[in-house]
Amino acid sequence: MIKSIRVASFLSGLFTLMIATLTGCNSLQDSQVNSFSMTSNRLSRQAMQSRRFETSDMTLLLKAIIAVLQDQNYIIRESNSKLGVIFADKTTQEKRPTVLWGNPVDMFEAGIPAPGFGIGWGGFDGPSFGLGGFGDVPYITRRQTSISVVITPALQSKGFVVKFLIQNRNFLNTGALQSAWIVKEPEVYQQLFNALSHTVYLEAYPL
Amino acid sequence: MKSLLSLFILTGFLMGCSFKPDANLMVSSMPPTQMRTLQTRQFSQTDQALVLEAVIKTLSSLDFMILKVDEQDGLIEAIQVANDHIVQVNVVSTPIGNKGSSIRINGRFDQSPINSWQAYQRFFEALSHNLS
Repeated sequence: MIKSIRVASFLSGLFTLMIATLTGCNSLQDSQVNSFSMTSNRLSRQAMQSRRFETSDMTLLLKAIIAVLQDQNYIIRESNSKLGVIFADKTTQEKRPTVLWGNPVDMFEAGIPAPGFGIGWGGFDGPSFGLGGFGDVPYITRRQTSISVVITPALQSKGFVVKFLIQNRNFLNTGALQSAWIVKEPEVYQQLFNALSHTVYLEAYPL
Repeated sequence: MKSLLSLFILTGFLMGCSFKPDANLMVSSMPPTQMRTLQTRQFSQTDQALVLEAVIKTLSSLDFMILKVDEQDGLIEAIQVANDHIVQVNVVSTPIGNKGSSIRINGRFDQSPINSWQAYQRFFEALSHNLS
């Protein structure tokens, strides 16, 4: 009786592991396919990321965009006026965490388990409890913001379409990547387009 | 006996899973000819500038950031950062005389090479739309 229970338990464990492995494999493939798919989320974001500018001078537009990015402390890494491409980034230092007994204690918002003592909610890792002595705990030390600009001729009217894409990456003090995401707040893109409109003295038309 | 059988089946499934990162970066899990077929399509557009414009527009619409453009070599490097994953791609456009252009894309999803034909197919579908 006990032997048959053990065998059943082993087989069910094996089955669960097999399903988990296959699911993991499929989810990786799905993620890869999703990276190259025109999803509804991507389509809906196009409108907030793009504006049409009524000018026939691509170089003027490109220089205005570079000026706007420089105003925002971005470093221009790539610029191609013929194909209408700009890539820039900037790094910002995150606030140093409060340290108690050699460990940061105020990283609740960053999704890092709170060391030191007390109970904390660690985002990805669930609740954590400790009384100190955890050793070195990683914390977010810098954020890299990258911005990609693509300028294409407007298809059904004169002028050019400017598209901004902003992505953020948080890095830990160990140098490892902690998180990466696309900036989806419309006001961030709106501010960039407003600044660009002022710089080129042109009206920006929503698509 | 049943346990052993299950173990064999599990091992078979695990070996069949081809999305593990290669230990040796110089060795791909797929034959080079098969990989090239998977990653390459031919288009009738002969103007290389128009082809590169369409590739840039396609990548941009798929949330890729264009890192570098080399017009002379027809090479574009782009990166996509989303949901804590990083996807890096290279697109190379090569003219085929006056018949059109050959476009090859290869990519990495975090540390794994992208071997999914569906992923490349989706890219070429979007590119066809921008090249027509």
